[in-house]
Amino acid sequence: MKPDPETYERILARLHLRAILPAFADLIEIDKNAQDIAHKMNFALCFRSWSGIETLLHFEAGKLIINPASENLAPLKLAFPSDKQVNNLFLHRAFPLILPNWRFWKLPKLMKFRKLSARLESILKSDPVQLRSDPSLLQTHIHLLMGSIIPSAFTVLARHEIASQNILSSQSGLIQLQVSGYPIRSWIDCQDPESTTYGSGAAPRLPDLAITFRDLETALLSTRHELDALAATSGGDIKLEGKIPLGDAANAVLDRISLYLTI
Amino acid sequence: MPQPDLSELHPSFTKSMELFDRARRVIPGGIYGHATPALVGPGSSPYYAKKAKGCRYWDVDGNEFIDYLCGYGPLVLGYQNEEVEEAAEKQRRDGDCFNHPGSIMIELAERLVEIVEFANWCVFGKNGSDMTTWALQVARQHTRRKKILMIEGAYHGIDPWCAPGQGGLIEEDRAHIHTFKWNDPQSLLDLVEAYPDEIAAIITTPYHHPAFADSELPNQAFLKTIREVCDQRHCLWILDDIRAGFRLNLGGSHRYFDFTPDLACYSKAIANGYPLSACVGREELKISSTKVFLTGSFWNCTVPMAAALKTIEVLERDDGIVRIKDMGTRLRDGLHRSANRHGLSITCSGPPAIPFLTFSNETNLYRSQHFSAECIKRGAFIHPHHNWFLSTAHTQADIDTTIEIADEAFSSVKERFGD
Repeated sequence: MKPDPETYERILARLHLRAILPAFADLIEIDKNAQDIAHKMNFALCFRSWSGIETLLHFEAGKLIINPASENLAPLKLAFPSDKQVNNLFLHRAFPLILPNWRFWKLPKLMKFRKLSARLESILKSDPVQLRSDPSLLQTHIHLLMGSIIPSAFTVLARHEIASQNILSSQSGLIQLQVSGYPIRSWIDCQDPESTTYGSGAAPRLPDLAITFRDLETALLSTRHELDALAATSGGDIKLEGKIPLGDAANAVLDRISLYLTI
Repeated sequence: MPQPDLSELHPSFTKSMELFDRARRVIPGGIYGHATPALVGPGSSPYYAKKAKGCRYWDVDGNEFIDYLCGYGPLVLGYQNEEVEEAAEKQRRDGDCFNHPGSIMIELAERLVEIVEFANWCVFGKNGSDMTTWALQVARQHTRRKKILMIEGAYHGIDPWCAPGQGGLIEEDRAHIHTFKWNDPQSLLDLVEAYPDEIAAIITTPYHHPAFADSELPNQAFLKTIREVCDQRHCLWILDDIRAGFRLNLGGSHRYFDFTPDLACYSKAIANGYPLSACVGREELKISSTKVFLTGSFWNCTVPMAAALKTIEVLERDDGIVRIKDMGTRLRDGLHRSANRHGLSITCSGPPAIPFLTFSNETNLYRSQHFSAECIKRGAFIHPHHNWFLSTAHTQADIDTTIEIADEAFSSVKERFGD
């Protein structure tokens, strides 16, 4: 069921800061256009909401590190007086109120970041016809979703959304997500909802549940919620191995991501 | 990570897959519910059955299996039992669906009240959910209370108060449903303390048979606590005997485990595959039961009732329940011997008539899934996640063949996973 408006804004802000922003690191890793934009970006940028959620992006020599350990970065700080203002920025919903003032957006550094944002958005918001006609774009799109945004968004919900915590209350384990034949892999370790972690690549140990999508098309349909997952599993388009009840619970949480993010 | 190549395990499920491709275009999920291939082993098990006889069935590709699911329980006398089919056919010739019930409904109610010792009345439905949900309402009507206590992880059907999964459910559906742990009297007493005068009923199965996990038999202290709570707090004990009924004791599974509920629900094995469910209850609940509306388009159909009467008659006459137990014990012992020989540690949980095999200390089910696929490949249909069922149609020879198949499957498990 839909969350109440306060929960919606609170969780959505976390998703923007904890799931969308970290995807820039993957974008720069895998996308040539993004690499060209990030090539000369050498600065740190901090997004902070009044509620204390903070994500620090450190661009250096064409790489991006999320929340680096170093304390001497002197980042450009974008402080938002409410979760709703964070969401306004990401959704282009209204003119966002950023403290100390909007002039910062005129800084060249931020213009570059906006360019990078536009690149991420264009990949994520590509329509299916465009994706299917461009295999490379489709792979990048799925990589960003399945390799980064989905596991991180799952983690946000598991840690902070009561409905998801209830769903996961009786299931725990390590989940591997992967697309057969492509280097698209991520994992979610949910031993206890509030300490859920995620990562890209192969799971750090034998997963309790492995979810393998037959191909990019199956993954695309799944991420767009256009796939009959039960039929796809029975028909072999999605292969589930291991702890199937964990998969049911995970699927219910993944389904909740779409209550917040429309990717 | 182990990645079994299922294409090598099942050279002959072509027609199943062709049918499934057709099905998924017009049926959501292709095959939904408990029969979904997604739960058995996609690609490594048949999807569609063609015919069956005794304890064997044939799929649409012509593969033959010794069956240990029995239609997920109903076929207690085996498929196409001649006496049951003859009784059903005789009734069918007179008619099945009428404006009115047939007299056979009274005959069957009298029979059930006769064999279930605490029962004084009986009603009928089609599926387990019809009866468990209705029984809850009867308990609420009788006690004028809201709360229902159920076991964590138990399955009682597909109605919103108990359905597995999350789809389409709202918090209010379960606002008055509270769970406690099997064989843990204190977890029940904690709920009783929290809601001392609000509990309408405690619903349990006769033993705990969750999917994906070992079955757990009840300990006497636990059963005693439930009965005491119900007596002291004037709430009702509803026995969901849908899965085990007519396989452990003809008079109900409560007699197998030695306790007495207030209401009991049956289905599955009651009519050897014909659609029927029943709820029986104590005399004191009869008036309350009349105040809870109960009906369905096909709930008075007579053919399933004729089948039920004959099923009960044959089970009693042939001492069928003892026979099933003996075959189940033979199977369980054989599986243990074979697993031991391969150095594998397994658990066969549940009563012998309704066994379930897991690999000890395995939580991710990889071995179970591989074992199941290997058995199915060799002609024994077992489920990796759901308890199995035996019937009176299983012979010693069938059991011994199955143990031989399992032996090869254990060998494959050992080869792939080690100990």
